[in-house]
Amino acid sequence: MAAPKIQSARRKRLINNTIVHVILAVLAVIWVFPIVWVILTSFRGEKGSYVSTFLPQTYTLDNYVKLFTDTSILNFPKMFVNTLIIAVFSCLIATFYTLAVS
Amino acid sequence: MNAIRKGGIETKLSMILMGFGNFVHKQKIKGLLYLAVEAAYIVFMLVNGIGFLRMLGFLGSVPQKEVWDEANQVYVYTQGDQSVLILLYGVATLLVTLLMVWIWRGTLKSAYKAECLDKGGYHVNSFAEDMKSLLHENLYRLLMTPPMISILIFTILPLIFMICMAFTNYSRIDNHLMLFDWVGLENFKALFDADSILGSTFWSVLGWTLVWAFFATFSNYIFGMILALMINRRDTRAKGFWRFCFVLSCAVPMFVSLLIMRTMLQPNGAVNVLLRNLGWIGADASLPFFTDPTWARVTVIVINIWVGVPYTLLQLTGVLQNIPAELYEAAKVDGANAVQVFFKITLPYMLYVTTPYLIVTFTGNVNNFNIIYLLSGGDPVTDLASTAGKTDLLVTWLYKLTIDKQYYNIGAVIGILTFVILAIGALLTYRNRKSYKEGGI
Repeated sequence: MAAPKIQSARRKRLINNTIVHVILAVLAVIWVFPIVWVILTSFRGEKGSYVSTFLPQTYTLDNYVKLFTDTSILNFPKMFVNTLIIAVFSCLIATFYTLAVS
Repeated sequence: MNAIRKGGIETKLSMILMGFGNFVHKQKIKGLLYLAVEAAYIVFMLVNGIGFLRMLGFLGSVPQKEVWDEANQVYVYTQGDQSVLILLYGVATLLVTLLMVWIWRGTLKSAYKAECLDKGGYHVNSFAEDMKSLLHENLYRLLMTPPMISILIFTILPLIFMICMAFTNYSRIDNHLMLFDWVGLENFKALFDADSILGSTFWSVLGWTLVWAFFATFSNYIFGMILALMINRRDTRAKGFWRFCFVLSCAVPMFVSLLIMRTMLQPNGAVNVLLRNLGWIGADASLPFFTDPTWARVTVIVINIWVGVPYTLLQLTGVLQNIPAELYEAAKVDGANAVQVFFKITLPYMLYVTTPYLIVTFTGNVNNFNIIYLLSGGDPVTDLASTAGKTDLLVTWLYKLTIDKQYYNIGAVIGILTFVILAIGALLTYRNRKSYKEGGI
């Protein structure tokens, strides 16, 4: 009498565990999916913003090289330095003020 | 007050001639400084201040004019009154006057103190000693001054300025961008009047804002709680890995991930392309994520879940791990099942701890500019006469009204109303919750 009861409890637990893990896996895929898509798109060889295939057909590093070298459209290195300057100074001023107030 | 009643003649004189009391009682430099401040204030008032204050009453009346310049054969524009500047200067003058009153009070106090000390035969601090004390016992004054001044200039002054704007007709309607007037409560009336276009838009936007805030807050909370419970279960394997998967989306800045989502959900975006490739929808069909009102509203809420759940998950995981294990053991001994344990132990405990967090998220969602503006931009606009789209919240509508349409006065009114609604709601829930009543924070 005792043995089947333990067995059924174990089976129930196994089923529960499987369900939970499957749900978690599906959700995790949904959560990671856009990020993966962006990373893949950043390596995409084809041009244009909307293409008719979901995954890129060709992969390339050109996009990254262009970002740092081609300053005609976006001066990315300059922007990078500007961001750094703003971050450093706002950090300094904020620290001074909070220290003074506290 | 004591100074006026009990002070000597020199103290009383310093009511008019500021610093006189200090000057007589061995504080020459301090007295002169006070006098200089008073002189500066009077000169400022005589030269500009009185004019500014007088103009504040009617906000300028000289319109910009076109004059035909015969010599150069062109139209020359004369400089008219600019009501915005007049309003700004007027408010600034008022603030300066308030500051002056405060300094005046300070003079009386200090004069009275100097008089008492001098008459009692005690030592009266010289200016150098006063300065030195700023570094020792009065250090807090030295340190507090710069932040206070910045707050006054950068926060309080613009705030009063904005509030004033709500009572004027400063907008593009009837060309009141240069010259405008006080109109009292007209703007509030126009906004509450449900028959006009503006009023009906306001009520529908307000309704959607509250619906959105409710769903956004609680869908996040419930979903995050379920996830946290599932990951925190004793039997779940690889807890760290699951948490990593969900928290990964926090690593991307929020506006970037929102723009990504927007791109993906366009009619020809990645999601529709994927569905077409899988053959779930026709080759030319696309799901109307941002073009159908109901679809757009649901999409926005669902994506808010995507964005917000990781944060809730982290928060609630911490709370869950703090629940005393003895409670669960006791429940197990008493033979409670999982549902009972959840509703009798876990949920009350979590609500008790996280109500402040819920209130903060709710108010944050009412003002959730990022998600709506970056994701749908308030679209779709179904009623062309109204200025708001179907997913516009009060904040994004405010942004559109002020930046695109230049209805500054209505924008200010909406800002004030949002603040009032939020403040009342937040205060009521905060005071009524259990942990506050039991004397907690």
